[in-house]
Amino acid sequence: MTDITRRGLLKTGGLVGTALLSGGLAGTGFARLAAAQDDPLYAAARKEGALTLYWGSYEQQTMEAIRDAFKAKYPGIEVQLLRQASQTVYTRLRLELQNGVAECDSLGTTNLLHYTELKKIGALAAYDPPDAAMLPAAFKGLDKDAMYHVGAISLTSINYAPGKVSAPPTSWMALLEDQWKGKITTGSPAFSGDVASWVVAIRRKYGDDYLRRFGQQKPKVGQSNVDTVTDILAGERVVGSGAPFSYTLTQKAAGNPIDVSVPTDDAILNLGLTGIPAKAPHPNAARLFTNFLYSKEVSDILSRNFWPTLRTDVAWAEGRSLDQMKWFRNTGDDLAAEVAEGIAKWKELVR
Amino acid sequence: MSGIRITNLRKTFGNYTALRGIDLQVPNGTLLALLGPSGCGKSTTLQLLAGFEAPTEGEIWADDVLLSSPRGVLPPEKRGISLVFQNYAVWPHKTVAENVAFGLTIRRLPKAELTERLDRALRTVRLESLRDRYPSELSGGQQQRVALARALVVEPAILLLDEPLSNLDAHLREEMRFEIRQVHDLLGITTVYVTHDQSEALVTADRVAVMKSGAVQQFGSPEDVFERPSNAFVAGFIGSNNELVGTSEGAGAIRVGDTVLTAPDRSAAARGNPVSLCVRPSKVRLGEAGGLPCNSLPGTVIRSAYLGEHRDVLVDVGVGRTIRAFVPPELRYGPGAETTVHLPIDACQILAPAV
Amino acid sequence: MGVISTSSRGAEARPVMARVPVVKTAILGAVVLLLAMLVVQPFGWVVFNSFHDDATGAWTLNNYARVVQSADLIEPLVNSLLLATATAVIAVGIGVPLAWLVSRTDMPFRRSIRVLTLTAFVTPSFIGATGWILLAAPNSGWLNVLWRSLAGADGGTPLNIYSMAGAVFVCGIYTVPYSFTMVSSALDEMAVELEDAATTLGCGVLRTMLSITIPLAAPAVIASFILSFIQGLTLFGVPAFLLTPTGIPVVTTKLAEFYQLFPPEIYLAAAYCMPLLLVTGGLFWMRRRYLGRKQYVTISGKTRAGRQIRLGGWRWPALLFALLMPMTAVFLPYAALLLVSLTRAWGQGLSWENLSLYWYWWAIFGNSETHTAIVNSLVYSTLAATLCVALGTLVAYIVERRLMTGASLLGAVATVPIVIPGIVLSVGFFAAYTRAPFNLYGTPLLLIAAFAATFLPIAYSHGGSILKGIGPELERAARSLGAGEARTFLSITIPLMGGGLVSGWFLVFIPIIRELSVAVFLITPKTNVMTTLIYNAKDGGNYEAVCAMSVLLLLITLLLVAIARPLAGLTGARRTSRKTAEAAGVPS
Repeated sequence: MTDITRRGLLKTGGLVGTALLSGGLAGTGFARLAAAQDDPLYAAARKEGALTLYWGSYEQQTMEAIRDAFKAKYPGIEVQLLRQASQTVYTRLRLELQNGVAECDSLGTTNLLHYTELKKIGALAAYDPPDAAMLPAAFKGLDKDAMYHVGAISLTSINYAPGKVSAPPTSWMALLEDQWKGKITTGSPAFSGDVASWVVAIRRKYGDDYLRRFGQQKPKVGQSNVDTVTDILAGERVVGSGAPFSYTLTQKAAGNPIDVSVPTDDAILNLGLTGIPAKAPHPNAARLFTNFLYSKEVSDILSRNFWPTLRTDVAWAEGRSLDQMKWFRNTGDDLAAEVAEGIAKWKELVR
Repeated sequence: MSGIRITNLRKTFGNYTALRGIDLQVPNGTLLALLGPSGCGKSTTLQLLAGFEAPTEGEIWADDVLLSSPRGVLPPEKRGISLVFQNYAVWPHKTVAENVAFGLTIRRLPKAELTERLDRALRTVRLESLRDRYPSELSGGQQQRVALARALVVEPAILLLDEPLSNLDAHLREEMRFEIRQVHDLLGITTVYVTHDQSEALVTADRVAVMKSGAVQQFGSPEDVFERPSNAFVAGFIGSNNELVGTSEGAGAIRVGDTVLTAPDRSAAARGNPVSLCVRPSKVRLGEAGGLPCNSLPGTVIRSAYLGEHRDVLVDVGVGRTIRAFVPPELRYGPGAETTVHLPIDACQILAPAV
Repeated sequence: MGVISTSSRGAEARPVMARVPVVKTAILGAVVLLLAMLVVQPFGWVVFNSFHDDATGAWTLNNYARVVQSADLIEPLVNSLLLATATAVIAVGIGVPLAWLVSRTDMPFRRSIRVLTLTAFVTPSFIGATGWILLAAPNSGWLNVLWRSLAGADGGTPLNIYSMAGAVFVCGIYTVPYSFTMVSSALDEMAVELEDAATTLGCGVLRTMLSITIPLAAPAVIASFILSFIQGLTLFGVPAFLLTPTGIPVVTTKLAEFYQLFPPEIYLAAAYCMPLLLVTGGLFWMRRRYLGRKQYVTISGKTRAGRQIRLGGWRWPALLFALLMPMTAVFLPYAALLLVSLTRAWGQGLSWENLSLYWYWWAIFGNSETHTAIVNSLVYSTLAATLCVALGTLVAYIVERRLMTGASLLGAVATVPIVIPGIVLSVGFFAAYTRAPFNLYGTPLLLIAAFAATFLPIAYSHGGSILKGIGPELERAARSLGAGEARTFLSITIPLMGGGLVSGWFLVFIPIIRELSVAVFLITPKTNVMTTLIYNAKDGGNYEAVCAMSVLLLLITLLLVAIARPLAGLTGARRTSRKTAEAAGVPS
């Protein structure tokens, strides 16, 4: 497409002053291509010619859109996308490391612990993507050695069926009211990282008593927190706890009767991370892609798919933003132990 | 065609001994019947001959070729030995012609020769008109003939028949007996015929080997085994027989209970060892000895049956021993009648028990 | 069989002892080598892993200590055994009578029932479970809703799919095809006079079936019971969807947790599979004890034409029974899936405005990944099933005919993979095939080898039960006519196995095409398959896409089956020429 545009531009050289060409789409395309070709990183990446992504953050559709945008911007690099659940992707990378295979150029998963562990065994390469400067301040410079960066921002909230619920619960605490007994659906912390984060956060906020009372509400426990949407759409339950914010909004946009309610006692924020393996076969392409994540193109795609954007200058869908909501993120040195304890308590108290 | 020599053949399966060391010589062109009750080892012998089992001890030779020994076995396909199975083993997925031609195809015969030999084989067993049928469309006797033709068409050096008639009805069995003998006379292939039916063996075979418990009891001509059985088992297995079990009183004498009886002694047993006196019911006389030197015993008739050509009388001769006699039908004995049982000495034999 | 020896050093004769039969030795060698590569190696890695610590990588017995001692790990084992036993009972209880009706009687629509059973077989169990959630979830399930609309709002919830009973039901109906296929191919080959013998003794039809026909098919019945049991033990989708919501853990969902944790407890997972191996080993041992003493030759060299049993007035009631399985496993759930797949946004419910073929368009044209995945699924499944059946049949032949010392060990090796849940096996395959000298990572061969190895037990045990029914004298007859072992196998044994081999191929092909967990660590972007794509869509909550792709997968597989079915008919073992009528007049 860029080629055609450029040819078009040359042919119509006499009409240089035409507003459509200089200020319109074709003009930016030309400018972008010129910039890309001058980029020594792109040149190096193009020499490598390929890129393999192992990603668990974002669902298939969004990830494919990001891949396609990258291919459009950087022709000449063949992109292979392996999209599986975060933990599966991580286990796969560990298996590859153990068996001396190097396939992955860019890892993107939803668990910080993956990266601290990989960093500890020296399996990550440092890279400081210049465009990450546009990230919200709270998420900049996550690792002082620049081994990993924010790759996705994921929010956990409440979702509900608008037609069946006149006044949705507005806080995690409100879910414990009698009216929601037998009406709640949620995921399992043993299967879903987001639900595990929610359990850790809720125990920090309200202690085990919350879990006990939550258990008395007889929630239906699926595996992934995506199942909350399924249950609400099917009519099996009407309110979802520990529910996926972005995915619920996607389904709403598709025309399904569902909506989110951001709890006043904090949406739980979980960061997806990304890093480049030390033995990545295409390190330059990997760097190019990592920097691309913080481009306007990607944030536009994220916005279209109801994900929080990775740039402060790109607004979220429906005019939402992080500033409008109260949010909480689990931090600490021993999160792994806290997650394990949370799962054990959940099994004891909830079911 | 070749003769078979089996020496000291032993076969054990785990703890079970199927063959206890048998020796057999089958001259070229002979039809040998292996005769015995089930479990006697005759089928094992056949499997060893065919090469499906390896002997534990002993050797099998075909003329001067060693076929089997504990150190190795020439595989079945290299032996030139054809086998006809008890249940025919006709391949259900091949037509009659395909079944019969199989062995020829394996030998890569030129087409013309193959056709010619196939036709000849089908003619021999009178199956020309059924050549394109599948086995499921044949009667039992026809399937049996397919199996026979299939085995013969390859012109084997040796032919093995494993109870080939046992699945047929009585009428067909008698007919097929003669047919097998006829084919043998025609082709002269050295044949081993396994059967448990003594009349089949006597009718078809040149030589009979009577087997029991993994050992050959007697190996001889049909006349030999019938008239001069080597031991009490053979006497009993072939034809009707009376057996009085006792102990040897020295050569030519046997003690049965309190009585000592005399007879030609073929037992070679020492005094005091167990022996039996054997005599065919057709030789036993009741009442009158008819001038022959006899062992005579008083007895009481238990049962008498009229069989047209003769009368079958069962006589109690004391202490639980009975003698069967086939007497002329005009002699009438009712149950309870007292009589004297005469056992002509020349018709009696003192025999050792089975090996 | 002949123990072949070359050491005929005896000086007493010119012994024409066997040379080493080249073809046979080469084939035996190849089989042993293939088994070592395909099965022993990956399984060896699983065992090796089970003795290592997840955190430190050091040697330890701790994983086993945890499996034995921790109540948290024992409870799922007990639940799994319960689920597996109940699944096997249902599968055999429905599958065996169904097989008898279809292959032995004059019940109407027998062919359709066969096809419908295959349809159920094609369905990945997680898709079946999804269908049944739509039908029988306590509040929203359509059947429950229908019931309440008939019986009034307080009619309650007659069906609750989120329960052990629900899981047993779904596992059971999707396992019936195993027992059905295995037993019906055994019954197809059975000589009818065995049944005639009983009916002439005054035995009723039903009594004959129970006391003669089914016991004669015992090798197949028992093999299918064990396979169904293993299926109940190793299924992941059904318990994950139906039992997790009620808090009943089973082994496979527990294993998934091990992989989901951080750090993942992969080595503990390996140790956790060993009790399954023990239980299944016990079943195989019992089978051997039971079958060992009996003879099950049903195809002998003495043949009669097949004949159908007349059901008379029972024809239609029998059909009603036969329809039970297709109804519950195919019609109802696929109706639900089809409806969802045809909506643009399924939460809006059914209405004309919401009706759309969009998701089919998306799956076929809108998504380049689907293309590759469909082609990959078909190519890999075809090649893997062929390799698997070839190897499984050879192993079964070697074991049944005792062609070498230690043959039964070969059989045991060929049985192991299916017992290990796919996710654990996947790690074993990874370790075994990606290292030198194979370096298969990223190649189609990796998936083909893994699929073939995983389903080898089905091919082996199916092959074994067919071979048990073929009288060895049919092969011996060929040997004595001069055919070597290889030639005999090819021109006698294989044609006699005929239709059974084709059904065996499907018995392997279909589970491969719907297999998910084994592929999980082995696929790469280029070698992606349908099921992982469907699961991804499910993972992303895209239900309409899940349903559309499931329906597509079903249609594609059915199309293949339709193409291949005539093949099975062509190779039927019991043949008749056109002169049947004439032959009927021949006196016997």
